[in-house]
Amino acid sequence: MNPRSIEFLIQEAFVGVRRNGLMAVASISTIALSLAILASFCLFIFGAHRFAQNELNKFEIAVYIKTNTDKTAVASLAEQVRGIPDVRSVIVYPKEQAWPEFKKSLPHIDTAGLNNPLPDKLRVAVRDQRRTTKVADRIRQFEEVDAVQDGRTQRQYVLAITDFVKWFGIIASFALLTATIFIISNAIRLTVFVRRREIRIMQMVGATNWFIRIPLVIEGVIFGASGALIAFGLVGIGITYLSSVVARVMPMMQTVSTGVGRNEILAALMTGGVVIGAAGSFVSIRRFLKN
Amino acid sequence: MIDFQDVSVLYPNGVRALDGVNVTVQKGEFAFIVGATGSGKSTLLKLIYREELPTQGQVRVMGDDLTDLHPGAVPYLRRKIGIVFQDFRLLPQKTVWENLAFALRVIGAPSREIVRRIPEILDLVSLTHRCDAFPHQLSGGEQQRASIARALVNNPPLLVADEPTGNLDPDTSWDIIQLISRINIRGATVLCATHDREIVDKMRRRVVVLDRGHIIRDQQRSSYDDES
Ligand SMILES: Nc1ncnc2c1ncn2[C@@H]1O[C@H](COP(=O)(O)OP(=O)(O)OP(=O)(O)O)[C@@H](O)[C@H]1O
Ligand SMILES: [Mg+2]
Repeated sequence: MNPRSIEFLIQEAFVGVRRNGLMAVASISTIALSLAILASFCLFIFGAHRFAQNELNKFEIAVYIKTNTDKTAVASLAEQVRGIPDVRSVIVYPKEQAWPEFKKSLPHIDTAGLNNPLPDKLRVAVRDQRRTTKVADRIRQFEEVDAVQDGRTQRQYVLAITDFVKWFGIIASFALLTATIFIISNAIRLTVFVRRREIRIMQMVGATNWFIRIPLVIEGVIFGASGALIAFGLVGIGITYLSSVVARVMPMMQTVSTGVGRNEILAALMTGGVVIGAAGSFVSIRRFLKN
Repeated sequence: MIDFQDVSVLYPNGVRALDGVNVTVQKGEFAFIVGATGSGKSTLLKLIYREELPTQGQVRVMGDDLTDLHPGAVPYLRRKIGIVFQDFRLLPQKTVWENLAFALRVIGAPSREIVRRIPEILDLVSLTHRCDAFPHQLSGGEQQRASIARALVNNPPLLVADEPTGNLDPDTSWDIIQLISRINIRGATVLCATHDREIVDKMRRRVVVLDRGHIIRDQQRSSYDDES
């Protein structure tokens, strides 16, 4: 295939789209809608999962140190805890800091003349919440440690929700992806189907299969890419609208985001549209090229 | 040019469209294929451009044995055969010019060649003034001239026509046959299936008569009905 022919075949694809205008509109809007639905669902799942993950990451281990421990021992304990694998950060919360806060939080209790009875405390954040219990158990073994609170029950509850969101999201997205692929390849197949007579005529004048296939595959790519672009627009409008609503009714949720950038959304939609468009027309044409 | 040896075609539905056909066509010949409807004329022509394969026997066209021609070679065979149908089969989304250009693009002709060749062939079929029309904007006769132009545009040595005048009035039919005859005089071998008694009788060319898949008569300079 020489460059002259390639140029002609690309041109053919665009002429084909233009002269089958109605067909093009129909299949592009089908592709746009199904991609937009798929993308919105995935973004929703990403958002929900990230939200749950954030909640989960707020869990910390509270380590209460025996009251007779001196400051250097506390510091060295903090250092040792920091050395435990999976520990993300350790904050020392000395009793001198805790005492005024405690008094302020309970103003009706008369604490005048009382000696600070609070212990020094470590706040330990863990990298993977699934390992929190293990880490807490290790911390318990230090001699200076009096008590450890690791919020086991609530943590497991949130963990279960996070897991559910994740697995439900994965399974449902796959189901939706399959449906989307099916819908898009059907739309593409229709554009090829209305051309089956043309395909036969091209074969009669001695066109090779590639010569027939290339413009139609390029058409599939054009449909897929245009559909993806429109889907991107729809999703963008949806996000903007939704975040303005959220900002108004649930200000505390405002910080929740999907964690997916616009460029990534566009790239994913484009890849999906183009790949399904090209593969869809390639497969549909094959049926008509059989002889 | 064309050689059928003991060729039979049995369609999957059990119809035996051709049964033990032997026929040879020399380079430069003009032959009519006639016979009642369903006698196997179209099937015989389809074997030539390898739209169908024989279930038995051998079909040779321009040196190729079509029974063991690789599927990838079929387009190259068809580039050497101009095919004309009763229903024209022009590409509906393309103008007359684009239809002809497509046939040339298919064989990888450069643009220079295309703009030189198309006016020439449009002139031959007297369609120069209609070159920008789409097929649905043309009369039947014009569409058939366009389809003949397409069949000839890359100078194939063989022209196969399946009832090229089937949809045309007698005057237009005669014009079309004259056109095909001129192409034959310029050197192309022509095979033409037809029901048109008048044309066959006027032309007095070779006539091959099919009846239920058998050749029952094959005469040079003959007519539609048996004269002997
Ligand atoms: N693709 C096919 N599948 C099954 N049977 C077929 C097929 N094509 C043709 N036939 C049958 O084969 C026989 C010969 O058909 P063919 O088209 O060759 O006849 P014909 O001489 O061209 O007829 P007509 O003059 O009506 O065009 C007919 O009985 C027809 O029904
Ligand atoms: Mg026929």
